[in-house]
Amino acid sequence: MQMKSVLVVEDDQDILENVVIALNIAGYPTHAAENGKLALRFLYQVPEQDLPGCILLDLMMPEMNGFEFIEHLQMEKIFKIKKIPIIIMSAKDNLSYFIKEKPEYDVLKKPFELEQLYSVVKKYCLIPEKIQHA
Amino acid sequence: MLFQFISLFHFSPSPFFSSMRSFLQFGVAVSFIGFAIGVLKNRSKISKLTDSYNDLKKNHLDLIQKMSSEDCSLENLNLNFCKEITDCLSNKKDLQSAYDSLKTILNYSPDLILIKDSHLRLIYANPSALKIKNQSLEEVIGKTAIDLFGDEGKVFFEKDLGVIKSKKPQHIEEEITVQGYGKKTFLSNKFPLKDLEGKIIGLVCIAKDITERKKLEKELKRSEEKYRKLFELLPIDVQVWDVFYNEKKEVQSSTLSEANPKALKTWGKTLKEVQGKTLNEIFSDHSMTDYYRSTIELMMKKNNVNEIEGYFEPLDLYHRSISIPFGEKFINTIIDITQLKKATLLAQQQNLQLSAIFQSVSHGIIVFDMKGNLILQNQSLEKILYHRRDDLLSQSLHELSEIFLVQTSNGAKISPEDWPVSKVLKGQSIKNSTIKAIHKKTGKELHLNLSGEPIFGPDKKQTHALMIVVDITQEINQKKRLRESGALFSALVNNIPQHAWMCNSHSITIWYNEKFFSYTQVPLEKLQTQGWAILLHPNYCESALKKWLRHFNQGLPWEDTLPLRAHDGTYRWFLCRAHPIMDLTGNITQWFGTNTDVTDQLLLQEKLEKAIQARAEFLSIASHELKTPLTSLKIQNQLLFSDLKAKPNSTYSHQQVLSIAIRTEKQINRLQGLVDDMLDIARIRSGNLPLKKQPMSLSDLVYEISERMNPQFIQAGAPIPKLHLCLSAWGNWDKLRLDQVISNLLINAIRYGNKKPVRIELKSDEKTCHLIVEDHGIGIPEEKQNSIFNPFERTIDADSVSGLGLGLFITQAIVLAHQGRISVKSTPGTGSTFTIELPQHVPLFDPTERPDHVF
Repeated sequence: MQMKSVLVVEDDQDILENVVIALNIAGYPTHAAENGKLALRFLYQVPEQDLPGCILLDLMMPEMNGFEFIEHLQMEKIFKIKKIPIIIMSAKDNLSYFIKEKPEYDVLKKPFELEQLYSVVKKYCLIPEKIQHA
Repeated sequence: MLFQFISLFHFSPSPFFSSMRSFLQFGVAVSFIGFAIGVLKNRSKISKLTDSYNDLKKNHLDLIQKMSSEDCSLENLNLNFCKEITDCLSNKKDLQSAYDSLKTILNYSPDLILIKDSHLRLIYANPSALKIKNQSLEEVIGKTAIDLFGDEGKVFFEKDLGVIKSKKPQHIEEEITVQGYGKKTFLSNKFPLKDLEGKIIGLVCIAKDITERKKLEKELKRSEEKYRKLFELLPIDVQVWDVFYNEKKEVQSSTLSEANPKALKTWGKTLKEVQGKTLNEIFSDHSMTDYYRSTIELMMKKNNVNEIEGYFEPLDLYHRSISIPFGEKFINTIIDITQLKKATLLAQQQNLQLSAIFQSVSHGIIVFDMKGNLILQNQSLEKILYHRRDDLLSQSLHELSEIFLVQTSNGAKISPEDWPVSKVLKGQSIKNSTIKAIHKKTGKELHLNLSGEPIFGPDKKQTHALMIVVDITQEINQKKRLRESGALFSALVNNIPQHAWMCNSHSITIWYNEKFFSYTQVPLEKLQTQGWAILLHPNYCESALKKWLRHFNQGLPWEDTLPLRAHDGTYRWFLCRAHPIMDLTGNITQWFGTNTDVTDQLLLQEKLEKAIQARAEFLSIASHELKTPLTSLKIQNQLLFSDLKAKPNSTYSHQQVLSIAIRTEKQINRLQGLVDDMLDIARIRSGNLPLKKQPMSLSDLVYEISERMNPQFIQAGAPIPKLHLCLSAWGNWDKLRLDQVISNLLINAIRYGNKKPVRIELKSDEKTCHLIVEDHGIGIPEEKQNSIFNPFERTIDADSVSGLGLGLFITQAIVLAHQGRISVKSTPGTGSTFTIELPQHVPLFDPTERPDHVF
């Protein structure tokens, strides 16, 4: 059973580290980016078959924030990159507007439960055997 | 003698005497009877007459003798007469007496008696006849009328001739010129003399002088005509009634005998319709009948002239009747006085009205006679002067001056000679002369407005002085109060901090207060000619005027916030309000407005709004910032938790537990830092940022911090900052707070430094330390440089950078708490330089002992 990787875009080092650890423990291969710019760079560099199954995206980031990253992705010509599901991961209070505008996005409100993280990611990446057996 | 005289008539059957008898029957008898009565009345006269009668007898006998012997012609002329005389002679005594009587009669008769023969020649004329031409009997005997009177006599002659021819007596009126008198009219009775065979032998003419009677008759006729005319033309109704009595001498009925045209016109009838008719026949109306009947009965009983005034309702006629009982007639005259009566009534009514007006007008009215005595006053005057009528009436000016002290409105005393009424008494008109009258007893003050007019009689001489008195005490007092309140008002409006202004009903500014002028320096005239819009900021002019006009036209209170130009060309915001001022009838006469300077208030409000917005933003950011370390903590904890759950028997190495503890510690520190920052904010806001001051070296602190933060620079990809530290920077400061300040500046330098070198310099002069942190990063836009020290400010978009955005605010607050200063110089794209100045204190030990560090 093949597992798709997860791209985590988060400027806060601690959260990034923790999320990556949590996903690794669950068996997901992960890639990390500190802002939108780096995330985009990664997506263009990685071979097509290694594109992540979903992107965990923080909104408030330096260089290129989450909103800008989404805009870029929507303008993307490469369909496979464009179609990668995005999971918003934010501590912002006023996300309701954004959710209304883009109901197709999954949202993880910080601080979130570990279970929530796993169930969202599970939707887009294959269920790892490890968890199933556990 | 009377007996004799009468017997003479009975005795003599001759035609002469029979003729005489008829003659006597014809009126002339009156004179004979009068004569006889006169004789009876006077005995002495009778005796005289007896004497003369005896003489006459004698003469007569002589005459007879003469007639028989000598006077043949007479005898020839009338033989029959002689015969008669002869017969008479036989009865001499009686004849003598008859003859004497006749002679007397002839001689004394005032009538003219003429006897003519058949040829109409005069045989005899009595003395009265002779008087006509003052001739003697001898002169006229044998002459005809033509001989005697010429043309005039011809008429007599013809008439005489007519009598003789007709052989019948005739009564003829004749005119004869009498000597010394002129024409006289005579009524002549002419009859022929016949002999016994009936042959006409002559003519007797007895003429009575009726000149006077004729005159009287003429006059009577004339006057009768006059009265008839008067009767007919009289403009008053005249009715003449025939009154009929019954046996008890009561009025039984009355019929109309005469009525003049005016009376007929009143009744609307013709004379024919009413003449000879009774009351019931004339009037269909019972009231009229009754009225006339009762009047007639009453009048006839009283039998004197009476005058009644009455009213005929059916004719709407006021009348005055003068009724005159006149024998068996009753004359009633009616004068139509309807007009007069109505005019009188009207005059009475007008008089009543005038008197009512006089009494009820609110103005006091007084009339003085020429001596200066008050003779008339109305009720209003009493009210004004609080005086009963009797007290003032008939008082002279001097007496009045005892009751009232009269002054000018300025309080100068006026003596009665100079009172307004005295001027009017001298013939002047006075208009609106204002005086003050003080009632001496009560001390009550009255302000009176006096107008006066002299009144002139028909002879154009002044008779009275009329004064109109108006009590203006209340007005005067009100004016006084108004003046006082006006002064109060102007004091008020010139001292209030607002601009105050007034405009009239044409929206033209008519007044503004001193504050208004000192702000605008626009003269009132300019405002009036160019309008107040010149004060408005051009951007707001149109909408503001529109709104003002809408309120102005509807008379609604107006309120607007507008920028008004000051005299120096700057604008400030004003809250402008205006209220309409109405008069008693509800018409707007003026508007009163105020302009309140709300610029500061508006700025404050803007600040407040900004602060509120910033606080909301801060709360959002703060929650975001707090949630970030919490997220990490949660994931760590849940991972550990799920791991412990999954592997109940597993043991963790020392290394693993340490790693978990370090990561947990890190998040807890972050949380603590955030909470500290927020506490600081609260302290700074409340103005209570406590400092724990201690002598310290700033250079040591800077060195310490830079050492501590070097790893972060390296982690951010930037070179380690270069330090230029002056070691003499010593002071009494709060070390922890300054640590916060420097750390903040360095964190910012890392965050915004764009990985370029950062320079830290510490300078010191005698009084001040200068700490300069210079980066070469993105820099700060010029418009943001002033606000970066405000709370919750970030130079970059909120979504790009995390952090509370309180760093520089807290930094500044700490510096300020140390009586220092913080400033920034920045060029976008080139970098920023932050400078902190701190007041330096005398160091406790000599800092020169230690050399400067240069890194």
